[in-house]
Amino acid sequence: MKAMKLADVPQGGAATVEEVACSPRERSRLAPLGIVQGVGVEVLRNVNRGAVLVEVRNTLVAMSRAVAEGIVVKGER
Amino acid sequence: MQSSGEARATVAIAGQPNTGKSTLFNALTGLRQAVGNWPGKTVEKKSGAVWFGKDHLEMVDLPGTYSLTAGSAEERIARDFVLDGDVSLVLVVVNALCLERTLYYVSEVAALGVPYVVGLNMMDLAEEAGCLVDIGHLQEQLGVPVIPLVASKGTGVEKLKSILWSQAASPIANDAGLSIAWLDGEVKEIHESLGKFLGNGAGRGSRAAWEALKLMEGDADVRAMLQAEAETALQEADARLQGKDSLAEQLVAARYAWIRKVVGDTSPSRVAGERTHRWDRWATHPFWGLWIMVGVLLVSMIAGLAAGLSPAFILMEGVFRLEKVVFVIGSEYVPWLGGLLQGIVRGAGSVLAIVPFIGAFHAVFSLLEDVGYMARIAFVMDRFMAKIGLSGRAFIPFLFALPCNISGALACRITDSERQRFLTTMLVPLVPCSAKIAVSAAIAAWLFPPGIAVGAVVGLVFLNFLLLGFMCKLLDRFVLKDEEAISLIMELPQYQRPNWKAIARQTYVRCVAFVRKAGTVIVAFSTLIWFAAYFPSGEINTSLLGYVGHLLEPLGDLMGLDWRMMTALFASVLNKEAMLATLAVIFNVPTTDLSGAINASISGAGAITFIYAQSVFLPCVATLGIIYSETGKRVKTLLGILLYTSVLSLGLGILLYQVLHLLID
Ligand SMILES: Nc1nc2c(ncn2[C@@H]2O[C@H](COP(=O)(O)OP(=O)(O)OP(=O)(O)O)[C@@H](O)[C@H]2O)c(=O)[nH]1
Ligand SMILES: [Mg+2]
Repeated sequence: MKAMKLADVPQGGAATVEEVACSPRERSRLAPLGIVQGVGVEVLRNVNRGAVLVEVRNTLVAMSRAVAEGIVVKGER
Repeated sequence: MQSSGEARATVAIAGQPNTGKSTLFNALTGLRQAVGNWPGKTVEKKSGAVWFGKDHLEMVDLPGTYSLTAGSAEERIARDFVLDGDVSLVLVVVNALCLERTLYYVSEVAALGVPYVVGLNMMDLAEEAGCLVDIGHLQEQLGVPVIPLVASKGTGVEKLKSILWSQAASPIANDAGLSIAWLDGEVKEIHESLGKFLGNGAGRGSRAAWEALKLMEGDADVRAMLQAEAETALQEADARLQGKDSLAEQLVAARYAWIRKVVGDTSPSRVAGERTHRWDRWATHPFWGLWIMVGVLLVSMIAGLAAGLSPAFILMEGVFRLEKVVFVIGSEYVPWLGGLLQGIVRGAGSVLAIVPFIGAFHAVFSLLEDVGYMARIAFVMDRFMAKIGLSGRAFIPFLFALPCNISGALACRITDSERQRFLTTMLVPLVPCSAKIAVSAAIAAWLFPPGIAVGAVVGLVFLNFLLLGFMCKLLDRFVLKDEEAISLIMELPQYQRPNWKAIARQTYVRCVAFVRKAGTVIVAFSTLIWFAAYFPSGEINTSLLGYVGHLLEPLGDLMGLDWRMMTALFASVLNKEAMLATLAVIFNVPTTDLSGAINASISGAGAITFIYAQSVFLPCVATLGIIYSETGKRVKTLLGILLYTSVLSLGLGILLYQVLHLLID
């Protein structure tokens, strides 16, 4: 259990969001999609340079790698 | 049976994207608002009536937004309508399957102080997934009616209607002060003091409470609004917010705490259904996903071409015959009347001829969208679009621009920020439309053996996209240098079986939109240009257009093109698919003999330059017209497009010819 970026969580892993350290614009888009501090996310797709696909609160959310770089999480594996 | 007159009240249908608002709007009003399995489908508000005997309510379908914080034009439309519109009641549509997330919008409306009811949609999917929603609990917690619905099947719509009617007459008050009970502790204190403060301004009432909330969240739009309306209040407010950096997070946390309480023990199963997970293993796969996409798109293009091309040719043939007839008849009276009439027929005819083609492509695209695949394309493409400063969503307008740039220009709204919309609108003309590709293919086929011709066309398309990427980077670097790039953040919808009725309706709606928007522009401009081509002499060689062509001869020399080719190039602004017909007119040979005539008049280097130059030349007037009507900075955008397409086609064209001339002629 150590802090890392969502972009570094391996595909198939799960994590808990610690901090959404993105730009205010991005944060205001992520929050209503359920991506906020304390929420559990499952990483469905995460490979080298592509967009990251996560499942959070029963919703599939796709985000550019740049966004996932800004989300600090605690890994669960 | 229906009497007109004032609507009893206005009801806004609002909520997060892809929750089924437009489907519900259609079920309520019997209208045909476009629906699609793509978050951000609706981009304009649309109103319609629900009748109760002789009385009616006005329903307004709004673009879906995740919250009331707006970052794009569509989101502003929705927010401002809920905020300022004369709305008696808001029908918030939520998705029973993703209740927690879609209730976020309810938390926004609840804080706003407008009366609302909740439409709990997608109950069929929720049941299928074994996700039981405790409606009684929801209703009790929210204090407003919650109506279970399956909008796509019409289930619950009658009950909803009667509730809307009774609520619109005497809505349950939404005491915002009370509803923001989800605030507590320090945030609550700050909010109350801010709210009081902003409320003192100009009798803003409950809106001040909402504004206070948005200021605490750091909403740039609301800040700008207040800056204009209540500057001193804003300064005071800022003083109070000083040093409270984590307010936004605290607010979000409070919202979700409230939402969890409202939802109660609803058992959320793993929703993204099995089907969606199974298919996404392939569709979003880093390697296979890309090739599946390429395959799907190729098949789509071929299907669209196969279905749309032959009707287009038949219609075009008919148009050519008809225009000859009206030309002869018109010319009997006044020499230029023939040209004018011909222009009108050509313009109207080319709109007509392209409709089956547009229809076929939109049917295919609508199918991809309806089953949920279009959103995966955005996901797969994000990696590549990110390289040129765009997000995966921005690929969709470019895709739509392939059959016809007009469809692409119309699709630019689905991008999710002004920046992306500007860039895509500017660059759509660089996507080679099917007409440009057809012209390139025809000329290439006359000049080269088949194998090389195919390679040349493919290479050209590739080159066009390369230029697009290059221009995008250029604009990004020099024009938009101060604006923050918005990366992809997008919900991927569930896959679903195709709903053929919805697909048919959507195709129809898009064709109608195409004819309505493009029709007038095309007819008006073709009339104008054909007038130029026939005035004053009735012959293109000695007409205004021919005159311009002759003037351009020195420029043409540099590109290895004589005045006839230059005239054809410039006349292609009228419409691209008529390029060959124009050439035939100018060379005064039947289209079938054109290959010989052209081969005889230009060199190989000149021909290649011509194919290239026409592929990046100014878009057709219809596309320019649509771009003009679709953008904010109209004149600037148009001038920008004219400038860069001229430089790319003529400037680079000269360079290309000079190099090729040395190498092969
Ligand atoms: N299974 C199921 N599908 C539905 C239901 N209601 C709508 N849909 C589908 O959900 C998708 C989205 O519907 P829309 O009506 O376009 O959604 P919207 O809320 O208007 O979306 P935006 O305009 O993007 O905000 C479409 O494919 C509909 O056919 C429902 O009750 N059950
Ligand atoms: Mg809609």
